[in-house]
Amino acid sequence: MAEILIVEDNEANMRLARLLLVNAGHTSLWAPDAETGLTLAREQQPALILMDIQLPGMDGLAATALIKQDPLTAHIPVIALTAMAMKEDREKTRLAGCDAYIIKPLRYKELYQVIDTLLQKPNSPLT
Amino acid sequence: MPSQPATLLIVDDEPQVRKLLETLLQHEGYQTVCASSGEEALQVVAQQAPDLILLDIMMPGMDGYEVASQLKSDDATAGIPIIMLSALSDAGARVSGLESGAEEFLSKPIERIELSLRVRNLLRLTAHGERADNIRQALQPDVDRRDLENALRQAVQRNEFIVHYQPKVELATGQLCALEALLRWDRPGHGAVSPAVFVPVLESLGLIVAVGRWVIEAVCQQIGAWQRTAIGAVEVSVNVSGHQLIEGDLIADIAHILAQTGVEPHWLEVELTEGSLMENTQHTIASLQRLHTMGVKISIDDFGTGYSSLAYLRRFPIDTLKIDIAFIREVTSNPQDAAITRTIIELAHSLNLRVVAEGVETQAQLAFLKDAGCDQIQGYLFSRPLPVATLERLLLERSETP
Repeated sequence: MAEILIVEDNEANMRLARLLLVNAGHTSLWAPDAETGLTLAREQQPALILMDIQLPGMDGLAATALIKQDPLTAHIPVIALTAMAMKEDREKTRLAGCDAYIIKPLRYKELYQVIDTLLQKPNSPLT
Repeated sequence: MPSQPATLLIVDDEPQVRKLLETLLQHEGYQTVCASSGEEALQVVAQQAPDLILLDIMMPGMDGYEVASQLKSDDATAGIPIIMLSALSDAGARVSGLESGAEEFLSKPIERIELSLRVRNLLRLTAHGERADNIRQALQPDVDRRDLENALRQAVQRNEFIVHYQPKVELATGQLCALEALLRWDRPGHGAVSPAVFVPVLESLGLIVAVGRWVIEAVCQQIGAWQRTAIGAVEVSVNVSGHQLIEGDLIADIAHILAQTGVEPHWLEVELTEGSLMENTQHTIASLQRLHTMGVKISIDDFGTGYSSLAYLRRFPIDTLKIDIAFIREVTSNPQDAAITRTIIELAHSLNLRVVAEGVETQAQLAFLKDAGCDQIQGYLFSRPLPVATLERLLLERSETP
């Protein structure tokens, strides 16, 4: 079970994601914007980040790129949550450093599958 | 369906997509084998030919087109149906795929229902083809289908349909609290035919609106009859297809039937699937608003498998969520299904909606649902769908107990 950071500006989406995480035994943190997300990622060292791509101000792609450049947070897997559906869009999230990609509105089962897959992978350079 | 579960080969370079397809298809009862590249796929097929292949187009190394052309140019493997997985609205990919010999296409993101139907249809077509080849006697699926269509047209004229009712139980009291109406058809000379078979045919014949209206009428007459006896009025939910919302004037029909039978609207609940809500959304919201204003209850069937977002729940005037049966089936053995079930129950309660779990068959499932706070259950553990006569005995017992 893990602590998971949700970076999401829409409160309804955040509530649903949090409910899904808590019921699967995880704990969650919430950041309503990219800047708060970066701070929480650095300070709280979550095991995984759910990153909405369309955020006000700095978008999720830029935030992920910063997370992956920072040695303090580079090891944390990031799942991009996006309404985009094209292969090129997925490529963009990959280039930004996202470890996985889920199209919104999210499907419950898919979210669990992706989280379980990423949490099973040894992702920290220390392990 | 063959007695042996069909084996499906999933070819995709993305582990998540493979995992997702695997989960969905295993849920449907298929056996799955996975390959992460075109090269690996060809090796797998050479060892043991699958019954069907789901093939991603864009893969590093050998792509989907190349895999399909190789398989289709070899007599030993040409008969294996291929469903290609292509990026959304990629018309060029579809044409190239057709050229390389694929039978079907699915756009990503993959819709569960569409996946399941395409796989099923393609397997059925192949099975028909093989049997025809083997025994050199054409099975003539076209003729079978035409017979079924004619039989259904006749069934509508002769009123061969009946309604069975499956009880729902309030978990807090353990009492029967409502019913779901289920359409039944005994095809003369053939016996009972599953609604899963005949409802899609009724839809394609444009008869579902008329039959759907008949079901609502039969149900309301039944509620009306009960409210004049010791049984009293009972809440009944009726399945409504997207076609009825779009093609017919469902709202006017319901208003008319309620007035005619003297049944108060709150005794009637319409059940719509998540999928049908997503089609023609504006019109659907308007129709549901009118039903809601009338006082008819609205339930979402098979909840949790599609795009079950909070935003859309808030847009529709819903009273009840019905948890998809697939989650209940493994709720005590699969932690993800258990977590989804708990989430749906909490989500519903946070929006002041009622939650119903269907397909409850074991005491363990019942205990889980009680603990999770589910409001109502239905399933074989309590009762199968019953004909009216049997059901009435049950309802009378209920009204006799204080």
